[in-house]
Amino acid sequence: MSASPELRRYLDPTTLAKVHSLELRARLIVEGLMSGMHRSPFQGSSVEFAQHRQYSPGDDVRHLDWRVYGRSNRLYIKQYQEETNLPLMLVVDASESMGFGNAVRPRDQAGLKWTKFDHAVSIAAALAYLAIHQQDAVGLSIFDQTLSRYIKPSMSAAQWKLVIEELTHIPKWNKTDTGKVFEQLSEKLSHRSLVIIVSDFFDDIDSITRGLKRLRYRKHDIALIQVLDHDEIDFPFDDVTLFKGLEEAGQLLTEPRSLRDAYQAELKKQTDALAKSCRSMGVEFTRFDSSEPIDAKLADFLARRMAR
Amino acid sequence: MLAVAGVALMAIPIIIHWLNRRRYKVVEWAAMRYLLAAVRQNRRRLRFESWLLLALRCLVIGLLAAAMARPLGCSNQSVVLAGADRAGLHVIILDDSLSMSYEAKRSGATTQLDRAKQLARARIDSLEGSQQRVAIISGSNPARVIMQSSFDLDAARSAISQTKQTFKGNDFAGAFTLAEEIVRDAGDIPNRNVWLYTDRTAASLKQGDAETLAQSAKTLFDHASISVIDLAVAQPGNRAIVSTGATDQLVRIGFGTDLRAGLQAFGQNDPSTISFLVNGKQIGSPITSNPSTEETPALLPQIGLDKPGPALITARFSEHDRMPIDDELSTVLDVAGHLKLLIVEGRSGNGPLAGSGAFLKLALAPPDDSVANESNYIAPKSSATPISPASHSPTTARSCWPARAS
Repeated sequence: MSASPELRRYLDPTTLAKVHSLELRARLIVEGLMSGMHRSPFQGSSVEFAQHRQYSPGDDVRHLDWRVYGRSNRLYIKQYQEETNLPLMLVVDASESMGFGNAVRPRDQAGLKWTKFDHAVSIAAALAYLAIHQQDAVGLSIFDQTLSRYIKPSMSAAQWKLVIEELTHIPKWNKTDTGKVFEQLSEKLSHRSLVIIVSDFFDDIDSITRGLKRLRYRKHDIALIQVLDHDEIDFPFDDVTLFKGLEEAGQLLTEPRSLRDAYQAELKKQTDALAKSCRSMGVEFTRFDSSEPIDAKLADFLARRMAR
Repeated sequence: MLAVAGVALMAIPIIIHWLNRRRYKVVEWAAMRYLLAAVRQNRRRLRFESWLLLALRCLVIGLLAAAMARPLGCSNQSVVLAGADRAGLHVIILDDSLSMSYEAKRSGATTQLDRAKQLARARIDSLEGSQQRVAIISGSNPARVIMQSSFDLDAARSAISQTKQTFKGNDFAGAFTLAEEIVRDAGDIPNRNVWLYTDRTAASLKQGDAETLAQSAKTLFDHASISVIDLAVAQPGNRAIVSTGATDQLVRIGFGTDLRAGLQAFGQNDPSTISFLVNGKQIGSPITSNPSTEETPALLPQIGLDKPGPALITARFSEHDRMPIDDELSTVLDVAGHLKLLIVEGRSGNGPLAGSGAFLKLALAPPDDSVANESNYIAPKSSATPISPASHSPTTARSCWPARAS
């Protein structure tokens, strides 16, 4: 499942940055993904086991209970409580750190930059469009240090416009408190949902993990999409630089060349810790580089979901 | 000066480091927590690396400056002398004049010159294992450089050993001038020395040379240190034969001539016995004479020479003193076998062109035209006397012009 070469041109952040309409952006991304997609990527895999039934040819062999086979030498399928499409809840980080971006600076649009928030919003819009297109319910939450905006999942025709309009708002760029937001969200979500959280996750790992555990306790299917700027991954600075931390994180005057390896090691350590924590909870974790085209990564993400 | 500049240059990395800390890019950064964590984890290493880098940069510049400049203190002689390992130039002036043949009979050295060579070689030995250049100049003939400036200390020792005694006086002014040229040509060497090995005999210096010597020494002192190794001995006594020959200008066989020797005493001296030899054979009896500080003649009268042609006449003291080199002196006399006589008949006369033989004399022995000689100049005669009417009369005076009829 991949976009045609012509469409790929439009999925590059350089091009997307010029597309002021988020709706159009989302359509461009999704249309690039649509070919080859035969079933909804948002089908949930519930963990609520109901009963066994004997295996019949044509059943999904992934659900065979091999322990039963080992004891009885007979094939049985596990049946789950629900196997329907879950409503999609998009959770987008709008804190100050998401306002960082050096991914692209189109020559003819001096001053315009592609921030992590732009990337996150484009991903969210594309997913929302995809869900709406597949006639699935979609909701939206915007957060920073608290859940600032919550749109309940719905598959109504007006939902798409509502989501796009909300995503188009410029955030206030407050600080982050991801863990607290997840706890709030778990209280808000009344039905089991597919929760896709798009953020840079620049927060305390333990706090994030506690919040995810709360969401998992409520049986939600969770996927984390970490969006990082290319400079945050590569740390390409050489000359003496004064780094002014966003979200009141202080400042540092240093020679970045000597810190590059150590910084990348720290970033990897934190990211690996988060990924490990997610794996232990059965939460999917994906990283997006805001300088790369959205379609490839998104396609990869959706393909993994469909394979579950 | 270069050393000071080098130290100043070492400030450049520090200034650049300081300027860099004042000129920097500003980046608003979201991943600050990871950056601060990296700094915390590596704070000591980063600080160490930063200082190490600055120190290395300063060191590189400092080493570069030191390689091009001389450190302070090398121009100080005491430092130079104390540190034999400093690069340097040593100009050795050996007094090889006549007086240095004096046999002071020191340990391992017969003459003063032997002693000077001994000490000069010891000086070179002290330079072993260091970057030292040596030049050797003759004190009596500075135009003859015994050895040009060289790092080859073995060659220097050999050159000193082969230096021969001369019969000349000293030319220290010339030696100092040449030493100054050698020092200048050597370039910027911190350690420049001139070593003069001499017996400082006053007799070798003429009065007029003292000022020249003082001036050349002063000029040399501006470029190098001068050390005089005084080899003078107490109460040196010497007498010398300073001239020899015959009293007659024309020595002929068959006619006796007086042989003479000029004697001179330097310092205290005893009466001396002089012998004369003709072609190596002693003739006559030895003569006893008391040489004085002025030249004193000793004569061997009426010696007949029986062979025409050149004859080697030698005068020598019967016993050698401490300076045997001047105890004997020889000269060659041309002994005429036949005397050819030419008689010119004519008028006699004195003065230029007077007498019949005057022109013959000029023809046989023409004068040197380049030398103004009044005796060779013949002035035209002023024969015309002033003529006045009063001095002449038609009847009494003879005049050159016929008288006018009155």
